[in-house]
Amino acid sequence: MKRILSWIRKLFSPEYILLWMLLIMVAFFSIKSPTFRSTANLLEVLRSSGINAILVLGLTWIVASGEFDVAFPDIAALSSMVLVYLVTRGIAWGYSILIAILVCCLFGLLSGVLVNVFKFRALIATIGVSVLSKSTAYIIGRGSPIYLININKTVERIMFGRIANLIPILAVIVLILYLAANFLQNQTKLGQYLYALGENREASYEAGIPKKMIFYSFFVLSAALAAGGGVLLATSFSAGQPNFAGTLFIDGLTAVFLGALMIKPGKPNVIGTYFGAIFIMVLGNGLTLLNIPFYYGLIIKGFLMILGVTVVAFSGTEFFEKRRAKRAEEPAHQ
Amino acid sequence: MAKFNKIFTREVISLVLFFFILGIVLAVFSILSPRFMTVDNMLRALKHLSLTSLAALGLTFVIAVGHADMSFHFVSCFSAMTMSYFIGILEWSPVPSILMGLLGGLVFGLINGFAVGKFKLPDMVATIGIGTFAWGLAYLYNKGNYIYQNFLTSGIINFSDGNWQGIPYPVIYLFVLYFFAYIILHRTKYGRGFYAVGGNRIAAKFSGIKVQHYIIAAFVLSNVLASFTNMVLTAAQGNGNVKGGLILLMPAYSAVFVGVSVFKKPTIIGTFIGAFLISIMQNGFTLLSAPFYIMDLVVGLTLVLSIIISRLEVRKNLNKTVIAIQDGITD
Repeated sequence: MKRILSWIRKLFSPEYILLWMLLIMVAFFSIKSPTFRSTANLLEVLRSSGINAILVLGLTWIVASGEFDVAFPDIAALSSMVLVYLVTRGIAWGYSILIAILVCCLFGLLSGVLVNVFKFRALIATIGVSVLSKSTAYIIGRGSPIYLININKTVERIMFGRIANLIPILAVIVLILYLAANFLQNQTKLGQYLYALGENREASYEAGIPKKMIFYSFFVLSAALAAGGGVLLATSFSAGQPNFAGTLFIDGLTAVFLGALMIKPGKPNVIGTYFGAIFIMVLGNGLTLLNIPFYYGLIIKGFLMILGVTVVAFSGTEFFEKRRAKRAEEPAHQ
Repeated sequence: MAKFNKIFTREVISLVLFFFILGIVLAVFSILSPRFMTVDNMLRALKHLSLTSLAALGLTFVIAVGHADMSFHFVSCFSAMTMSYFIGILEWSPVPSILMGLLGGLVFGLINGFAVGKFKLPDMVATIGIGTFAWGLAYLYNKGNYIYQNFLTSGIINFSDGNWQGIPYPVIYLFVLYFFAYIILHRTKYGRGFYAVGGNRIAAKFSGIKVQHYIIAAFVLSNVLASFTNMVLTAAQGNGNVKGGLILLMPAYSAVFVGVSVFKKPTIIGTFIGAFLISIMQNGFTLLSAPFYIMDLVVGLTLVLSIIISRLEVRKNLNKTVIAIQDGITD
């Protein structure tokens, strides 16, 4: 009984605020729109949130370790272009996907080199890399998208397939990926390192954390996952796009920073990001079904991002500390 | 020998290197295209320069206080749409409409400045969030559609296409604003404060510098100047477009960091020559009728190479802040 009570109390603690926001939003859209609350639509939302979730998994860790990566949407675009270019040239899908991901890993490595060797702020370095990858994508298609005629059955099944005609395969894969990432983050040294880097850079250098290795692997991982997302996007649009419609970047960042509200308040973490990605997709889907133009979604996302970052910034600093200190002091004064 | 070292400081060497690179670029383009080295083309290049370099001018101040601004391109879209709304839908005359647009930039600059300076939010995320918000608001004016009514008749075109004794207005804006920015940042005590805040915030605070004030001022300058740039751009295009300002981001960052790689700190002259290098290359490629994505490639390569050049003489202990800013307070 006590255990259940403590569970319930835990659910109402600030760590789960995003979950409540998500539930309230789902309830709101369900009341407003009968199409939204159908099982098919809810599962579709879960499926399509998978792409966004794959794109930002690497970004989560980069942000958690106190760096930044703005290149992921452009790397996804590059991957889709490389893939479609190779496929239309008659190269087998398996090899094309592999080459697309490897090419994108090179761009991730470039970010890593710029940050590690040339000691530049990750923001500036990744801005440079994102322009380079975007223009490479444009050069591959000579400035226009390349259309896919046949889509490989396996890739199509990963993207659109259902287990028992109900559960989307993509959602299952993303869930497994996130659970594995969660294991890495919480149960291994890597997770300790990355939060140590985010918490106190100097101290973690002194403690001998292999930060160069970590940043190289994070940037390459982020690029590889973005490339994987790009492959899925290419099958979903059935075209390679040098420039995916502008909100990919904003959606990804919003997912990560909303996710930082959850589980480990103030620190981006994979489970939070997963719910953040679902949150963004529910918002987009609900607004579409209610016939509200997408730019209201933009305003809401911007607002949520500011809200998220404000809560995150204040949770670790003076404001809460002062309140905590006050609470601790009060009995002493009496 | 000591005298030799005094003349050939790092700054001079990298300046010479920069002009060497610039010379090669100019030579290559004038060989490839006969029209490159004409007065007409140079004037056109200067006009183009003014469009990319004014946003970079504002960003210089933000980089100087040790922050990053990822919102100015979004905010500039909002301001340009505000101006277009007042001209196209409400049929105001150009000058008050431009002022309303600048007011939009000012408001978002203040919001950014307070968020980062006063409430100490992480700069990148906060500015991206605020920028997204502003960009969403820009869509509201005309549901995301172009605003082109009244543009030809109201005289707003003159804002960009007019000239004074043969000199196009944008070139005048460029030189006047750069001149004042140079005086403020490099020739007044007030301007030294920007570098002090960027170099060592705690030291600056204890020397009686109003840190918050400088950060807010930097963000206001960045957003207002980016808004101004995009309004000139909008006037030149003859319609208000919600995505018009998004192209400002990359060239602005590239220009500032080319300047950093030459002078080892964000300076007005550095930003100017950075913007000059980028826009002269873009102009050259336009004359060679290269496709538009080559421009992006040029901007990206310039940014990455300037990072690499600026780091070739890496010193110890530059993990946290830009090395250049540290130099800024020691001299």
